[in-house]
Parts: sequence; structure tokens; C-alpha cells
Amino acid sequence: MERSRARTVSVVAAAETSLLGTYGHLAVFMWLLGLAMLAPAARLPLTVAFCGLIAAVVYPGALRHILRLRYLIWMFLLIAPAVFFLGERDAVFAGVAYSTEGLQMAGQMAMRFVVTLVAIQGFTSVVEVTALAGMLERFGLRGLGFSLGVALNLLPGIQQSSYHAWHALRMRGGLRRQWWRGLQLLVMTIVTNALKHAEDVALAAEMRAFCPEKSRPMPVRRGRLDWAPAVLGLASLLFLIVI
Amino acid sequence: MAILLEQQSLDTPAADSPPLAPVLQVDRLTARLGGIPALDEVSLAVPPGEFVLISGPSGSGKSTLAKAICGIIPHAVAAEISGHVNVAGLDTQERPLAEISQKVGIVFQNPGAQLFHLRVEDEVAFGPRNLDLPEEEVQARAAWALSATGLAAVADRKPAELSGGQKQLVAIAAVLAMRPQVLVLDEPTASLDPPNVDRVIDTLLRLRREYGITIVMIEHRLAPAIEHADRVLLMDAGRIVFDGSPQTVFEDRARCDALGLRRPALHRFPPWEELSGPLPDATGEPLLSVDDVWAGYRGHDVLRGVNLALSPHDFVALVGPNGAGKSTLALVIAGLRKPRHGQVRFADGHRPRPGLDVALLFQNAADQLFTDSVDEEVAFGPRNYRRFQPTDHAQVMREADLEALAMRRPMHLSVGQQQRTALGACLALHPRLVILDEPTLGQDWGHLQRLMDFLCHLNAAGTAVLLISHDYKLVHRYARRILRIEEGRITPH
Repeated sequence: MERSRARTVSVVAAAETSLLGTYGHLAVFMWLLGLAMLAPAARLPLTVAFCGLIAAVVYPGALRHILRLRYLIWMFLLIAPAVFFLGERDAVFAGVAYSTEGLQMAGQMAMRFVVTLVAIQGFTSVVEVTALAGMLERFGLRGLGFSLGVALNLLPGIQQSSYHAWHALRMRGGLRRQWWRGLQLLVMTIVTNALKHAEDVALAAEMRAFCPEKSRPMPVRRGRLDWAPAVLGLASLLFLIVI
Repeated sequence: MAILLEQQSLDTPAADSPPLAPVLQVDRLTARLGGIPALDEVSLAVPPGEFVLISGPSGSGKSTLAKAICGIIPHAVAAEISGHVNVAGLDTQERPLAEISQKVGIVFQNPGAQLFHLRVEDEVAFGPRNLDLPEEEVQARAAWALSATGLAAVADRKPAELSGGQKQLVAIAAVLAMRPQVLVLDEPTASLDPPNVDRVIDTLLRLRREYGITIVMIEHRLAPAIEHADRVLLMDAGRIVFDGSPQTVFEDRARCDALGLRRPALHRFPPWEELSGPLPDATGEPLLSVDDVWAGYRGHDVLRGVNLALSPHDFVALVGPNGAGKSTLALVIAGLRKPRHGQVRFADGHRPRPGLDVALLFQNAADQLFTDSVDEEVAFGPRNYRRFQPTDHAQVMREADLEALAMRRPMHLSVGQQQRTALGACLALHPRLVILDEPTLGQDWGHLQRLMDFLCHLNAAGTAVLLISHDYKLVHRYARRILRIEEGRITPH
């Protein structure tokens, strides 16, 4: 009991004393995206460096993730066409003609891509899906958290029962001679099992007083400085636009 | 700040104090589901803090009684009922489920169907949140329920990542957070391995001891809980046929046999490590060989170099903890899953053909029934393989005792009948090996014995049997060899 008391206090205290809550992180995310998208080409390197600084402070782990091979491949696929197809090919490197204008554009795209990636990585690493769902529920998507949880927990069960149905059919010859009948039966079995799972979930939820019309949004963690990124973000975006 | 709930432990009443008023009172309850009688004049009174164990054969009305106690019948499941159920002063037929759920909670057999959040803590807080309590109270209740079930350490984990036993405990914690006075559990340990069964039972005992929660537990297997129960009820054909102490329940041997009750072993079985035999030293030509098989899911190996051989007359038990790879090995042997490395071969050198060489009976027989009648179910395979012979079909129907059920819908049969139908459908293709994956789920001992005796008969005629089970008594009684699998390897390795 003492342990749980300590834990409860620590969770509540953490929520009360952390600098940034879910709204704060959302503001940082929007701030980074806004800077990356709105910065003029001439100020882009400086803006990206500034974004990197913000990310390093708020999401220290996110910068490491962008070095993953798949992200580098995406970035290459995104910018490579610009080097060859944007503007006139007016320069040659190692026997390959390319466009200097396209190269500049590709560089800008790469920088904006990196900032966007860092923002997404950072945001998703610190904000849980349930908190995000809770936030969206407050913006009118009622029951989203519950639906999301049901979907994510139910899908493996439905997948499992679908495998069972398919295995059962395979053990009796699969879709051979009676392929149409077999297919009908397979689909019917999968649908029936899915409905059965859904009914079980509905029953369990009802036994815990769930009512879709009265469902309460999941709690959203608040931080002491949630306002700060919103104010700083607005200020820096205004600065970019005006200057 | 969080407000923490006071522990609601019950003081043990003094010997001369008057008996406590029942927290659960069932009065002449009769129920018909879809026109079929399910409960017949059931009456019952349970004082606070009692641990009641309910058992009886499949279809005897145990689950219907549980659902009626919790108000699921008639609020969520339509039924014609008469009589009354009263829990902590609430008439469950009159009051809404949201109100009843604060007095009585139910935990079902399959924990997967009761969990629908992405964090354990959110799962447990879901019920109190639905009661529209202040968030601090919600957090306090969740913390208390997690602590009471020993789950505080996994509060931030995803339910999907937990073991079967932990999931069942999360389901219990989620119900506990509603602060019920009565906890009803419908076969909560059916799909768990022995360590997880112990964990669930220990938690229930602690809940009763420390918080005075009344426990009503439905179980086919009496052994894990009987020594802790205050009282045992036996049901048959919708009626309570025995209501007494755990010490007297096995006195009437004829009744136990008629109800398919199993006597708990007089001594504790030694661990599987001591019981599992050496690796097969197959006599003569093996029927099937598994050589260095590696297999798994999404790049994760569940089987890691499995070797074994089965003889034509083998009756082997495969045991091991949940997640050790038993079911995956069954799928690989049945030819339903390709190994990533290694091979499975019959003596004649070919790979196992699903159904024709190896039949696999799933944990839940209903999962492998998909036609409109028992007759079509049994005939489907032979027709599909163009091997249908009316005489063969009639013989399988007779041997599996399915003749009287031929035109019934498989989904409407009892668990035992469904299992026989699934077995009949498998046997219609005359496989050389039959694999049973946890056949005890939802089965009473009587049904199980009949199924296993039938398999012994097949085994004597040359069909090898591989039995996957956590059930000590079943394994001891029927298997001639025990293989233990742990972390994807047959041990000793």
C-alpha cells in the first residue's frame, strides 16, 4: 500500500512538476514544423541550426534516429530528382550533368526534411498515443482513445482467429475442389469471430460502466511551461515573417 | 494530490457474533437462453469474505449463473428469467449495469477480450473514469488495484506485452478498481501454465485476506483452488446438486464420476524438469523426424533448433511454460508453418501434408469448425481431397459418437461435442499423427477422459498422438513419454 501510495504521488507529482506536458510538446512540434516550412531560403541554414538546438534541448534522443538508413534513403529519393530535373543542367560532376539550381533546392528540401523528421521523432517519442488520443478527444473526437485501444488490442485476436480458420481449412484441403464454398465459409468464419470478439469487448466494457455517450477523455499531462513554446513559437514565426 | 483509499479489510467475526448478512443472495433463479433451459431454481447465499468454488460438467449452467450474478443476464444477454439475484443490497435485474459493476465484478476466461487500452494503468483506471469520479480518485483507485494485484511495476507497460498470467491479473485489477464487494471469475486459470495459475490464485487469496472481497470462482479443475475455498458448489443441468465443504466434496465417488470431477492428487507432482524423459530413442523406424528446426514470427525465433522423433505408436506429451514454443512446434509439425531452418520429414521422406498426415486439434475446438452442420464438417475434408467414401464417413461419425448430432450446427454444440466434431473432421482424412493443443480448455474431466480414451484406441491402432498440455494429471495418465520445451528448445538439449 505504501509503495502504491508513493507511486501515485510520484506520478501526479511528475505531471505537476514536469516542464512540458502534452500541450507543451505539441506546441514544440508545431513550432519546429512552422519554422521548417516558413523559413525563407536565405535564412534556412540558420533556422535549421536553431531548430536543431531546440530539438537537442527538448528531444535529445531524436537527433540520433535520423541517421537510420531508411530515413537517409527516403531523403535521397526525395532530393535526387531535384538535382537532375529542376532547372537547367549547367554543371558536371564526375561526368554527370546536374543543375546547380536543383542542387540548391535539394539542399533546402533536405534541411526541411531533417527538421520535420526530428519534430515527428521527438514528438512521438515523448507523447504517448493515449495522451494524443486524449487531446484529440478534447477537440471533439469523442471515444477515440477507447476505439484506438480496442482496435490495437482486438486486431491481434482477430488475426489469430483468422489464422485458426485458415489453418482449419488447410487441414481439410484448403481451397481445392470446393474452393468457392471454402472461401465463403472462411470469410464467414472470420467475420463471425470478429463479431464475437467485439461482443466480448463490449460486454467487458459495459461491466466497467462504459457508456459511449458519457465517456470521459483520457487525461492529458500538463507541464508548468506548456505556454512557453507556444509563445516562443509564435514570436519566432512572426519574426521570420516580418524580418 | 492523490487521495488514497483506505484498506477495507474485514475483521474476522468473533465466534459468538451473529452470522454476517449475505453479500450475495440468489433466490430461486431460473433462466432460459434462446429458449433452452440454463438455470433451474438456483438458490444460494454467500456471506462477505467467503471463497466459493463452483464446478460441474460443461453446459451445467455455471457461466450462466456467473453472468446472472453480475447482471449481464438480463441486461446485456437476453434471457427469460424468474427469481432474484441480490448483490450487496442491489437487485441485479432492476439496477443498471453501471451501478451493479460497483458491487460485483466479473473476470472472464480470455483476458485478451477484456483489455482494450495501450497502458496497464489506463486499463485499470478505465472503470473509475467511467464512473465520472474526480481524476485524483481515479488515480488513487488505479494505484490501489495495481498494488493489490502486485502489478505496480508494470503500470506503464502495454497489456499486449504481458504474459498470460499478468494479463489475467490486469483484468482482475481493472475490475477491482471499481471497488466491488464480490469478484466473480469464470475459469480464470484455464489457459495458464502452473506458475501463472499459482500467481492468480495467490493474488485472489490476498484480496480476500487483506480486503475482505468475496470470491466466486468457476473452475473445471478444482485442484489449484480447492484447498483455499471455504465452500464448493457443484452444478448439473442448471441446478446446484452439492453445496458443502471442500473436505466432503469427493466423498461421493459416484457423484464425482457422474459430474466429471477430478480428485486432486494426494501429493504435489514433481516439476516437469524431473519428469521429462531423455530425448527419444526411437525403436525402429521413426514415423516423423524433426531436425534442427528454427521457426518463429516476424523475424523472432520461437523455436531454436528443435530435434525430435516420433514413432508410429508414440503417445507423447509436450510440456513447458506459456510462450515456450509448444503451439508453434505443433504448427510446424502439422505442416501449417514453414520452418526458417531445418526440416520435418515423415519416414517416407516427404513433408507433412496438413490434414492428410497430421491433424491438429486446436485449444478451442470452435475455432476449427466452419460449416453449417456436423455432417458437412466431417465430410468437408474427404470431399475436398476427392476421397469421400460414404462407408468411411459413416464409420467416423459412429466412432466419434456424432450420428445423433449430424444435422446440428457445430456452433450450437457444447464444448465437448464441438471437440468431438473437430476430431471427427480430422480423423475423416486418416492422419498418421494427431496433435492435441491444450484439450483441457473448458472441458470437464468426464468429457476429457472420453476424448482421451478414444485417442488411446486410435493410438493402439497405429496413430501417433502428441499431447500439448499443462495438466499434470492428464499427462501422467495418458502419455508414455514427456518432452519438455523451454525457450524454443526441447530439454535436456
